[in-house]
Amino acid sequence: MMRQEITSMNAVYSNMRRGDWARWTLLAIGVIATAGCFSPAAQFELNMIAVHKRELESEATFSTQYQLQPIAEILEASFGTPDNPVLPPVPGIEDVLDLEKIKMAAGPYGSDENGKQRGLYRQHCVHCHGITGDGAGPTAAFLNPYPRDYRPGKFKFKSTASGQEPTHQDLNRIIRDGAAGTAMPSFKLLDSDEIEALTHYVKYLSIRGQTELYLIEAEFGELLPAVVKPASERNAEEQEYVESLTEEELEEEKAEFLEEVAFFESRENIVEEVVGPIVEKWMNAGDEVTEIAEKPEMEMKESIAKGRELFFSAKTGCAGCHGESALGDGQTAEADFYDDWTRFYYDPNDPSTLEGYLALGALEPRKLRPRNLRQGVFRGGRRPIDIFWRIRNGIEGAKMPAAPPIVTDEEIWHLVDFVRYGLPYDALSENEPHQPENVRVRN
Amino acid sequence: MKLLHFSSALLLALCVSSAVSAAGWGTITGKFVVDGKVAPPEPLVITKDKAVCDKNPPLVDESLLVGPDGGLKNVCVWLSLGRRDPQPPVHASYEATANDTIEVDNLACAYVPHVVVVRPSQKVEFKNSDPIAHNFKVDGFANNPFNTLVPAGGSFMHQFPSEERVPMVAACAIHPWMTGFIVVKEAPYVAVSAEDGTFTIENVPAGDWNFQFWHTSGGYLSEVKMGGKTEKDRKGEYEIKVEDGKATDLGVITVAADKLKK
Repeated sequence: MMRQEITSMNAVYSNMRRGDWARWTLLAIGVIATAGCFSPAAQFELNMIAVHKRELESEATFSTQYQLQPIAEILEASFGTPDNPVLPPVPGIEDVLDLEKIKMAAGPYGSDENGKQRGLYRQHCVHCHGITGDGAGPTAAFLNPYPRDYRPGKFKFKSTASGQEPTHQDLNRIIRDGAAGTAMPSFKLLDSDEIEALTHYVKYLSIRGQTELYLIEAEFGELLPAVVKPASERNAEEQEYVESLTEEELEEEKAEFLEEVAFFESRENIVEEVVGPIVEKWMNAGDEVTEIAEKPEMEMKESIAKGRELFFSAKTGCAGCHGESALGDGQTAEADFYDDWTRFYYDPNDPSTLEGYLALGALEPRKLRPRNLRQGVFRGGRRPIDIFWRIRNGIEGAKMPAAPPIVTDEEIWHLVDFVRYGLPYDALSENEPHQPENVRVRN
Repeated sequence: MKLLHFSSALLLALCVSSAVSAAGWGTITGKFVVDGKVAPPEPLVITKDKAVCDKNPPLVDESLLVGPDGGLKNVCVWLSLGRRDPQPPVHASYEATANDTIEVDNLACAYVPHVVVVRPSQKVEFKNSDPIAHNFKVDGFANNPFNTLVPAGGSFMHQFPSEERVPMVAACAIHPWMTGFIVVKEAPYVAVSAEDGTFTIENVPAGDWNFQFWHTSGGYLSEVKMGGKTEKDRKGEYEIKVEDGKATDLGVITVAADKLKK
């Protein structure tokens, strides 16, 4: 194949040497012009990393006709395209997603006849977060930390507990304020309705991504397509499996398979079984905000002293990861210290599958670092309440655990004071960063 | 919508309880044995809290434990249903334990037990008997994930409301070598093979059922030898016939060593 390409290139080269420069230049200009004028409309991409993962788990490959295409069709029918978003008919979805706002953020960048900005997502977000919201836009690989992948619906910095969706306000805040110490800037200069539009669009991409993930992992991914695939598309195991079946069993399995696929041709079933429960969680997020007892009146010095004691105690275990001097150097483990977005495709105990994921666009795994608390930089915000939420609820997707119920709100307020005021401020105290593990060199 | 779900669940529960003792009950027993050589478990790399965690004998990787006569520990066996199949009838003997609290402890930086089985109606007490802090980061698919710290000597209660297709994984962020599994199944017909590879599931409703075999080393057992016959299934699903008042002894279930990952 490679050789063929080289040969044809040579042919092109020798053609050019024959002196027909003008014709080639014209052709090149023509090609560029055509591509420029008729560049294809932006499209959502299928979550091939999730598909690949499911394929490895089930040792089967997805059937294009019966799995990949139906998934793409269901998603398009339910959510539309990047240029023309629609919403699935879930009762009450308008309380979560505002289609008018989503349309303001969707589509190509420009302005309408009233001078109102359109295509805000592509103007401000897409280069890092990607058209599909996969956190793998063109600049993503150069950023540390990587941009958020919205598709699993997991967010770190929020007012709700792990496993709960963030509130609208949580996402709005991080767009407005940015995430300190990361490449995520503040968008305070945008109008508030533009920030609103982007907030809705991020939620839209999340809900779409969660729906897709559910279809891949739990629904279509549960099916073994060997029985419906033509022999030429089966891998060795699938072929062996099909051969082990009697004619009757084969027909039976085929019928079962098609019945499952047909189940999701019904929009009602999609709404009821897949999208409905996802939207419902977003709907309830507002009721799930962690309630916090008011900060007790106390001499700051005293509060810091109490916080310090807690920080080093076996009751909270803070120093275990953040280190004896709070430089974030307490966790030296070489094994599993990756976030959930990375752990989705990378198992540090079995790096053999990584190559396949990287080829599909997964980002090179990078280790997490417990925060160095002496720099005064807090990604999720540095207000007391932000730090309170981080300690009480932990950080979803990262390794930071939630404080146990026996640690009282009052005690957490002391920890907040200690973290904010009880540590030496030392911008140069940056510890030696963990280098990204070069798995291929190591093995 | 929630109400509707609840009422239909109630209806289903009523149907199920009325179906109780429809066809009688039987017991399933068996013994998982590894055929071939398996390397002894490797000691884990203890990177911190060595005073508590670095013990003699050292902590080992528990994912593949084989007894002296080849018995395979920690094979999970559960009754497997199609996605829209109704739940099987539940024998009265399981009612007494329906609201039990199942314990998972942190003991010298390992989860005890390594594999635990729980029903949605039961609670789990996540304990920490060590003098240092641990945390439980539990991730599944149907249940909300959580990651909660347990102070030295502390504990907290948790309930998993939904059944999980495969066992949930528990891990500790402070001590990354720690791993445990939580099997959440609605129907109580679940067993985990003991050190010698044996398991028993009592009072299974009579009939032909699919059971899934899953092992901590690499998931579904896709090829086993049962009753002298080699059987294959990608999802480790095997049909087992249960007869009223009888014990179905599956005898020795052989798993080839090279089919076990790691």
